[in-house]
Amino acid sequence: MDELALINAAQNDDLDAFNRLILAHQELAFNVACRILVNPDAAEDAVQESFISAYNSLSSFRGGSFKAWLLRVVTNKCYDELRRQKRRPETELNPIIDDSGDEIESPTWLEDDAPSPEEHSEQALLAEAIEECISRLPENFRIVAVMIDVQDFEYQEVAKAIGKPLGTVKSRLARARHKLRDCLAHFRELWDSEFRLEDEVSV
Amino acid sequence: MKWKRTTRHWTELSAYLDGQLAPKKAARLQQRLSRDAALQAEYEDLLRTRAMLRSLPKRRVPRNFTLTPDMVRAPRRQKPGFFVPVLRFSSSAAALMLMLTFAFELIGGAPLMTQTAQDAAPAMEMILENAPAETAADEGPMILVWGKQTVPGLGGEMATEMEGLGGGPQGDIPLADAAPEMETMVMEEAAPAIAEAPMPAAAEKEIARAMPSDEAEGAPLEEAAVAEKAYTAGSEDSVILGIPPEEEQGQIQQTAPPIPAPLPERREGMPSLRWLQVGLGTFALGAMLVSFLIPRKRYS
Repeated sequence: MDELALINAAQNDDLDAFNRLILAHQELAFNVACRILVNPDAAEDAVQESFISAYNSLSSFRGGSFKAWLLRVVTNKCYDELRRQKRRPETELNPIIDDSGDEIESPTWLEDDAPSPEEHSEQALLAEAIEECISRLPENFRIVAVMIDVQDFEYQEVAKAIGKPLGTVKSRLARARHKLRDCLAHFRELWDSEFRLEDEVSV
Repeated sequence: MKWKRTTRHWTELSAYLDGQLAPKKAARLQQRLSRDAALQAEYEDLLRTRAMLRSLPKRRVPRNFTLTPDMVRAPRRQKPGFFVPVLRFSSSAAALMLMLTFAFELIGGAPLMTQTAQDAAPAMEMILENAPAETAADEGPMILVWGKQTVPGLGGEMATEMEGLGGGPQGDIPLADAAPEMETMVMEEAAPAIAEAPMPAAAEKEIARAMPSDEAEGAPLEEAAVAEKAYTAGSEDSVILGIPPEEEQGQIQQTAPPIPAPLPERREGMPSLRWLQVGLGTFALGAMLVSFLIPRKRYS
């Protein structure tokens, strides 16, 4: 059954048809949410809620790219989550006091659960560095950069997904790339030989 | 043209990278890239950045996000039903009627009050005219009580303050005993009023005759009564007169008529309107509160 038939069936309250659409797009949706929210747990919740919202508002789909429509629902949910995180940050900023009443010198919120650099391969470290640079971008730039450069979306699809004109998408992407380039320059030692070689050739 | 690092140029370079630049602009930029080494370096930086971003490994989904019927069952809000709209409408209607009653009271109620007072005066006059005159003659001079119980015709307003000098209960002090003190009151207290009031020449003569105070002490009551009569003679139409002239006695000596019946009836209309207003206000407030409380209970 093709995508259009599945959509029509789902619009007629066929949940199985909609679940088949979910299976086709869930990896993409999860990756987008994961890059935008920089938190896999939050991304998981956001994707699940997005699919529920999408099913309940499936009647508002008027044709066109279902992937772009679905990603719009996902990005909107991610925006909501980011706003919620800003309103109520979950990180405990107060110092931890132990039983004796003394402030713990190295509180848990300063601990880094990530493995040490030695435990990572170069590739993993580079991926971590890239994700770190992405997470430092402003939200609007981050979404565009993730969708176009990481997920390889078309400009028009992104414009539909975020509800902005094409010019805005181009401008945001250019500024996001500019910031990412500056950020990644700090991790030059982690670049693959491929990137380094290109760098050397270009110089 | 030299490459300037502006947002517009960065946008063009980024769009060129993705093949999203218009053909004319793309051709122009391509020529510039071949001539400008710095611009070429910037372009390759962007290429590398994009390549690194695209090299990010895809994350595997931790689980399937398929939906179950329970998950998609939309929480349907219960409709308020019939009772709440009726309550809200009733509350609004009661409030409107309350405002109408206030408006009626302001616009229509005021003339009603005036009319009541105006109607009462002719009614009183008519009753006075029809009252039997013979009953008046049997009961002595009329006493106009001015707020307090006084000796008839001798105390007036100052009666209570000068108890024993004319204001005490009737019969407490013999008139003959009270006469000297009464004369003192007349001379001292009433003098300013006398001076201000226009007084006929005859009255002045009477007063002048009665004034020799040395002899007036202990003077008989008749002399004081003459002075009092002279003082009041110039204003026969005044209702404050204590003792009317001889010829007029008995004319207004009538028993006080009962309060006209229509007066209390008309005044009963206003309290009933007030009760209506209180009732409407209470109902409007109560219905509004109930209509707001009912949905919250249902949805909670």
